[in-house]
Amino acid sequence: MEATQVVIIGGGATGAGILWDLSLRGISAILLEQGDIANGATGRCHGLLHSGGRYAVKDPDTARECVAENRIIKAVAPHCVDEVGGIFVKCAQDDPAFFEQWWRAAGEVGIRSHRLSREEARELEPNLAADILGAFTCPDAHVDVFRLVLANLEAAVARGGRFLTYSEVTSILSADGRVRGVRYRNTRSGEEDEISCEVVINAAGGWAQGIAAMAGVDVPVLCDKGTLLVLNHRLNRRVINRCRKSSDADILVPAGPVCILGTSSIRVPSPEGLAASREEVDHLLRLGDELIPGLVNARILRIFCGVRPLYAPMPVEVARGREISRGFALLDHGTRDGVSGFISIVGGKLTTYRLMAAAACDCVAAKLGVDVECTTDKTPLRPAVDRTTHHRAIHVLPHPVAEMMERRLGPETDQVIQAIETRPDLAEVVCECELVTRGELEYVLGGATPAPACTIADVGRRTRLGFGPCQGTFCGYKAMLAGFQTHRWTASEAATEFSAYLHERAKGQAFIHQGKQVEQLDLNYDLYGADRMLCADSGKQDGI
Amino acid sequence: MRLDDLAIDNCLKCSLCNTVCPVLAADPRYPGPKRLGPELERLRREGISTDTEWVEYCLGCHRCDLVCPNQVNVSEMIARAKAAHRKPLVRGLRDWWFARPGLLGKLTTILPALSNFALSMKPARSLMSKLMQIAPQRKFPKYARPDLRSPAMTGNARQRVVFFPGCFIRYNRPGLGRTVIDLLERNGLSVEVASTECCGVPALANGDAAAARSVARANVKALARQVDSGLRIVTACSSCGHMLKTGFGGILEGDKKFACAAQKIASNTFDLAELLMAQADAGKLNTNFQHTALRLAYHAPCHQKSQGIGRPWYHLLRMIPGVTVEDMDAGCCGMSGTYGFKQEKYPVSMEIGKELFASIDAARPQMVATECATCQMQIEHGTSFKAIHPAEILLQAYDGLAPTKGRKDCSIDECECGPCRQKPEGADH
Amino acid sequence: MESDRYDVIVVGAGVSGLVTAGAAAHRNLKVALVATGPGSFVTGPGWLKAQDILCASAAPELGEAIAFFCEMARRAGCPYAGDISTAKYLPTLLGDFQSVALAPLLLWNAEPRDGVSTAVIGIRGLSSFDENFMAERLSERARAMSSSGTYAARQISLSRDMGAPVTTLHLAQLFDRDPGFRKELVYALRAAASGFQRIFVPGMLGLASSAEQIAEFKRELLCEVCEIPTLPPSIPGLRVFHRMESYLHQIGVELFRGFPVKEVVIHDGLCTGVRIAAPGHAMNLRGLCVVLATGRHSASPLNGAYAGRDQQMRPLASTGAVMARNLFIAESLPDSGAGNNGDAMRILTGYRAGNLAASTRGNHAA
Repeated sequence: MEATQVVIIGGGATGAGILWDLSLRGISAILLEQGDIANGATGRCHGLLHSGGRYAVKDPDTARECVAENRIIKAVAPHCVDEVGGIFVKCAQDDPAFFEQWWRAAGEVGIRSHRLSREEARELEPNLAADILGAFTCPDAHVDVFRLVLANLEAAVARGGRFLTYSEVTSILSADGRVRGVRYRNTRSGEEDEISCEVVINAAGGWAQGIAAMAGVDVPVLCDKGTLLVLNHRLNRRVINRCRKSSDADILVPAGPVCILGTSSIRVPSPEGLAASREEVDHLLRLGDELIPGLVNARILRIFCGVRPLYAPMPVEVARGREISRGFALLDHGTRDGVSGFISIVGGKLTTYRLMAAAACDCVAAKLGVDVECTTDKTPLRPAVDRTTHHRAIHVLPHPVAEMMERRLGPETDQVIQAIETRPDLAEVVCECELVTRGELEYVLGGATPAPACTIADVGRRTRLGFGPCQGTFCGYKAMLAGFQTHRWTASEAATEFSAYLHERAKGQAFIHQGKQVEQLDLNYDLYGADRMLCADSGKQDGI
Repeated sequence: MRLDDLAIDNCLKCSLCNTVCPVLAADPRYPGPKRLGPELERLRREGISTDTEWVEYCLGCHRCDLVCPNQVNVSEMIARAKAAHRKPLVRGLRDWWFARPGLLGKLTTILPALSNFALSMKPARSLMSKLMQIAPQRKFPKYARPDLRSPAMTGNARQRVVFFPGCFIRYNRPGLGRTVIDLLERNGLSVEVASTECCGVPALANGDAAAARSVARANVKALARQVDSGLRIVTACSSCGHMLKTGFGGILEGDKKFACAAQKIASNTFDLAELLMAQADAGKLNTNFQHTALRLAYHAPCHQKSQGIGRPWYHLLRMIPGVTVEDMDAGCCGMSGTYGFKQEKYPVSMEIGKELFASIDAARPQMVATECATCQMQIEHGTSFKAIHPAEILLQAYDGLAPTKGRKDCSIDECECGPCRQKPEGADH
Repeated sequence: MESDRYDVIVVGAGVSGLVTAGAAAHRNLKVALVATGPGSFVTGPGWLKAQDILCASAAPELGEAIAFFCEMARRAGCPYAGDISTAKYLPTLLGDFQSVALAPLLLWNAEPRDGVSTAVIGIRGLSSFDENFMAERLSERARAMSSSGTYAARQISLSRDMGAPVTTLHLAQLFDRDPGFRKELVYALRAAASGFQRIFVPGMLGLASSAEQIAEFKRELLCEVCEIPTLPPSIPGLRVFHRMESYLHQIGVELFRGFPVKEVVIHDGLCTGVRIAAPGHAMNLRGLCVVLATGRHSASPLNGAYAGRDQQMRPLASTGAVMARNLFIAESLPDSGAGNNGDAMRILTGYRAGNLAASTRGNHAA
């Protein structure tokens, strides 16, 4: 049994942010995640770093938080953020009064914005509908969620923090009204272990209610399902928001080579076993097509669902998904429920993850008597790739391949380039859609990285392997061989692993009813056999 | 949204395009059409710099487009990347000239005799290869006086067509142009020679989108009136035909007025053989061919295949009694217009042609028929057989004349081409 | 003038379209084959799974259709082995065993064999195939099937610089074009095969190699050689496609490659031809009958304006009336959402369509 000061439950953005914050304050901590990093809401969202525009009218407090956090994240984690900018578009069908109301509110909460005429807006975004009436700019951005979580974890590890993936908390150990530690199970090996600690932080998002129940306290979390569509290529350069009262399918975010349309808002009982209905998908597409005519014909690569874990202290019957504040709540169960050493951080959103972490850590620091201020708003998460490494990279790799690798790996690029220099075969591009090299593949599968991948899907979250049009059909096979060649798996383990991966990828395409992705899926069935892709263990969740 | 923009979505990554790419087969280091086309295109749209010198090696043969089961416009994506590619100075200068065969034509034809002499001289050629990186093994086509004119009108009842000659016929082989006119007239069509520029294929192939756009605009202006009055356009060069039929390769997209007119031109353009076959379907083809004993090998140029008109020349030639035709169907010749002239691409060009050369050598025809001028050059360069435009064979068959058999006419000192190497010591060209 | 008119226009060159064209051409019809791609040959190794046979087993003429297909394949120089009543377990690219009824000869002899030692041979630099993985998997799977056959991994190096990484496509192209490469390959394989009764290589023995070339290659190897399927492009599958296509070309089928059919021209219940979406203006092909073998996905030229198919495989309008008495649909119904019925059904419907086309032409003549 290990001992540490703090155990964090949940490996999403908030949990990772807390581990980083605590590590900076010199507090020892271990993070436990039941699956892989960003397995819950973090990995299943648009990846939109809000400018605050979306909440300006309805929720000025949240909007102000977003305005501040937007600037901070761009400054401390530039490699995770693609500063694409955004626009709020006024459509003919929508309430014109809201448009002006937005402009006033944006000014009040401090969003930098310009007014655009229809022509100016369409010049910026040529695919916008011809009948839009105008637009406002805003500093929206896209944030690569997996990279952001990894960056936090890796930075924390460098300062002594630890994290364990595939470690599901099975019980919270307490004595005399005080939390003493947790018991957890490795979901891949089945082994169980305990960690003793002074404070447990519940940052389990949609699973927070279940975790709280283990300590005998109630944390009302409402699961609000959002369905998102990943389109094969970028139809827009900026984040396109529809300027109206928040509703379905009014955000289109350019995310790497793809763009993501969403979302819906449907109450669900649990964060697991989510599925999108055909009507839901058609509805989203129809609305998206109003913004970008022709979008309905674009290829959908994948459909995924996530839940917004909303904190709902009022009776759930009256709370509707979008009506509940996107603000977050810090619950100190010592004062609230008489269970000391246990706190929950719930609600909130990706953009404010750092703020949530800071609040939780302030509370923990006070409990532990540590008098160190939060510095996550000033400390860069990861240094940039230095020029020498860059020159070495473009010497051994084609330019775009090197560029993609540097974006993904940051300073770790150095180690992969070093490997490629000694073994030129590692320069082979394994995932042709996302330009992932064999070097990166072996790196994330090996032990040298602070966050090694356990499955092929984990490789995807670290490198974007399999995120392109083939959805892992070809590159997944090569990743399987790489896992075998690096002795990570035996041949039969590799084959089983690949089956599970194919199945997981197939699930995200199963909701797609028409178009080229259906053909792609059929090609995949032809190649590996439909039975192999569909009958594998279905316990896993689908992420993007 | 442009419909073409969504064609990228059709790619299922099946790699079929790679299996037919002549460049990939010749040089496995070439990233292949799948990578250079749809795969990098997604990243280009993201704004990632994907520039690579390899895009220069695309032949523009369109074989990838044709084989794609899902109609992905692979080579158009590569052509756009080519246009955005930055070249080193010398190659840029050379390609600037190559993109403008009309300009070179106009300049050299002021004094054709002198320029032919200069171009064929060994010092001039070796200077060019050094300064301009032009393959010294190649010889330039001879230039002639551009004296192709519309023939006098003969009677009002005849159907009129517009002949788009293209640079090669206008500046190098006006005689072939007269053959085409004669052939059309003997089939009940009266011909007007269009006063047009280069079709733009060389410009696009050399990554010069601005030059391509400028000639395309000029051509649209020159042809719009005739098309509007219901005339059909005839081409005898497969590359010109390909360009006109594809609406100038989509380069006028975004220029609404011109794009619309270009579309109209596209739907009214016919390959010479296609038009003659249409005459045949209507029972109007003059089939008074005299018996002509001739054994031919036919090579269909890539830009003929990319027009999707079947094999009209093959069928027409077979209508001549006494003529036997063997369709080589042996892929791309590797020349691709100015591509084969480029020093750094010469080895690839010859490697690609190998299969065709071997097929022709095995067939041992009396001569090779192919309608593309640069395919003819490549075939004559890579084999010992003479290659001519099938229109010449067809026209002469009306008069019972077999085209002159045998060797190609080579007029270059120390020429490296097949027949010249074989020619006995001291014999004259 | 009738010179340009075809007896049958076949649309699609997957296995169904090829068989249709072959069956029609064998009945001395003038056939045009319009196609943009090779159907499933680009992904699959060209074998017929046992379950495919099962899907089509209700049809009385299945045996006849399969026999025709095998004969066509033999003449095309890509002979098949097996028949509809037996099945063998052949290795897949995941190192599993798939129950297969018929397969190209080069794949057919790869079943687990008691007491036989097999070398799985990889090629240095060919990253998409791992001989160690394959040998380990096949050993395990064979043991699970209580076979006493053994599998060992070997790797060969080819001296020539082939650029890195090597692909099966490039190896196949070299195999086709370069006799020197074939010699070198034989030499290297022979060394690696010593002590084994059988060798497995990744599918790479030529995109268009003929039965004679393969036979010669096998003779020189002195031991049995089998191909194992790889990631697309599938060389064994494309080999069948290329051989079949050039065979059809030889027996007089006119090929129109590269552009899809955008319209089937129907007047008063009679189909008169198709319009091919060539650039500029459509190309019109006239025919006495038309067979659509475009598969489930490729945009059907009928644009979904049909409600089913009658016993004679003719598409029905939503009213239930036959759309055209000389228009047939081979393959699964396009866009019907019906599952993949497999290649046996494709061959069966292709064979049927070819024969129906012949009888239609007979009616016309009468």
